[in-house]
Amino acid sequence: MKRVWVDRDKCLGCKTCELQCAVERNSASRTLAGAVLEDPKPVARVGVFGATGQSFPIQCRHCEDATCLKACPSGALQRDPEKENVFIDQAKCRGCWMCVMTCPFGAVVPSARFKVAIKCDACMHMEEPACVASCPTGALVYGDEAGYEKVLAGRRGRIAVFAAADSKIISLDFVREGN
Amino acid sequence: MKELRKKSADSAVNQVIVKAYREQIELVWDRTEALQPQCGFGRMAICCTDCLEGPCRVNPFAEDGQKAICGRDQQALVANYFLRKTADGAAALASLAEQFGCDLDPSTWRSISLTTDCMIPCGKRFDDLGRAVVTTLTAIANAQGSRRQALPAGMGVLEDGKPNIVCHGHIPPAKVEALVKAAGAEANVVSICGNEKTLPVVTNYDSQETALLTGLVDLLVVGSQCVTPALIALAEKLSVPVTAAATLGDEAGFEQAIAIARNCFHRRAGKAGSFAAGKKQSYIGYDEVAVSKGLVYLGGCGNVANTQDASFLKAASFLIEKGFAVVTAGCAGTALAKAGMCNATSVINLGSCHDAGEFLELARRAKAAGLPVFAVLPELTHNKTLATAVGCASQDIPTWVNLGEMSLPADLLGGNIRAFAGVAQLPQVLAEVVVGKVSAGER
Repeated sequence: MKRVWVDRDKCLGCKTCELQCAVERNSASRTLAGAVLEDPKPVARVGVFGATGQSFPIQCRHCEDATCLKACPSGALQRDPEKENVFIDQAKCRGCWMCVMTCPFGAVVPSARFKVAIKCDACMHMEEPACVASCPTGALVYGDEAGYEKVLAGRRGRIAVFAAADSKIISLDFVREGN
Repeated sequence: MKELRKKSADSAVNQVIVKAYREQIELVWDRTEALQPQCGFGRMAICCTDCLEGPCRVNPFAEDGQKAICGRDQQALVANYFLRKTADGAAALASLAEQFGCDLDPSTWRSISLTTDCMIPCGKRFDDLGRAVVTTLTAIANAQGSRRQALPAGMGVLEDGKPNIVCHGHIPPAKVEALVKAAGAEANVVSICGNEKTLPVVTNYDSQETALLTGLVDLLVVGSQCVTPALIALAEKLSVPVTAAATLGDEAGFEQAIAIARNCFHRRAGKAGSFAAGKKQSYIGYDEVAVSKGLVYLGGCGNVANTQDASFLKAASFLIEKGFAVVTAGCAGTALAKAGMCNATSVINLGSCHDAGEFLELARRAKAAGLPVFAVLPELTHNKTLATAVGCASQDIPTWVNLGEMSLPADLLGGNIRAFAGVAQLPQVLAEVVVGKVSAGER
């Protein structure tokens, strides 16, 4: 399943992803200039949190064992059979906020105005998620596990080599890519 | 607000913060928390809004360095940002000099008048700015003179039982004098930042709101710089009268101001917030300075991200222990004064940060006597403080400044301005200064 991966070293906390998500997915005008004038204000489905210098964008993780899916009494929370991401059918949502309460990431947001829950759906009907497309540093990446396995393998490979090369090593060090 | 009791090294400020938290009054620390995380592009100074073809921000992680639309690369963006902030700070100082009645040469103004339409960076402009700052600070220092006087520091300088008038924001000394004269024995005139040279000081920049929350302020007289909009809004909310020093012209104006304070005091009589605040004995100015190993300027404004005053206190303790005479001013000076550190003749508080010209004079004399001289600004916020640092560097005084994530060009100002990572770096700084590795023009 494709999901949004985050390289946290590259997140600078600029919140461009928040702006783009709100403009593309929650505004009527689909432009920044128009979106800021709308009422109610467009809501983003991704949030950048953390302290300065340690920021991290959080959107729905589309969990393989999603608690929100289990918690929803109306069947509004559903999983797309083909893409496997979790989305909300807002016509069925009654605004009970069970999903809001159970999500361990706080990624589901209640909309008091429209009485439905709002959650990232990985931009399933678009080519690429808006947040990923807009990220200026490449901290957000859209891909499946196979793509990320390469990154993991690279990291592990470097540790393994490091350990074998010098028999006097008593601890493993994590060497970052690019340094 | 998180970690309420760790916001300041000043216990009086912490007490007021607790009170504000209980009454749900928003302070600078709440606004800072709500704003997290702050944008890394801005903090690295690689976001540029000089022209309308922008805004541009370059990706610091790109394989081939990305350039802004006009062609500036990462280093050029940082250099430009630094230049404009320095020029703005120099203008702030020049503006104060003019308000204080100094006549500045047109060439000084010309050096300060930088425009963003000038797009190609030039190192020479920093040297010009440095010279302009030195001229300006010297003019301000000469206009006031210096002598050692006892002026207490701390929230406790606000008195129970009489009207308290707080001067804040670099008000011209002549106006302060007139206000004090009009107040006589009836009202107590004190300062927040900008007027520490002649008045007892309540607190410094980041905690300016807390002074109002004591309930003891009957009139806030504001100058032209360092007064936050939040302070004005809070004064309105708490019904504390505010008047701009610029509007106080003739004797009648000052009498009117005292009358306002008197009325406010009568309205609130008996309703002052009670808290255990102290004040410390402290001295401003100098008749003589006791120097043994060398001379250091410890300056800066503070940064709301850190515990207020803590870095200045740690730095001062270390430098004093190592035998250096510490000259301080402004919010850094107030931090030391509130902690009772400005009593010996080896720790001199010059007053406000715009009085730093006096340090430049002391530095000249110390250098002539062959003593090592340097400057360190562990936390700075405002542009005129940055400009002061540039002024020191331009006089071949090695200057260490904490600029966060900004990385300065290496050969700026003869290599005299360099990044300061924190108080832990001080031993290394001292080693470089004392061993003489850092001297005029060398790296």
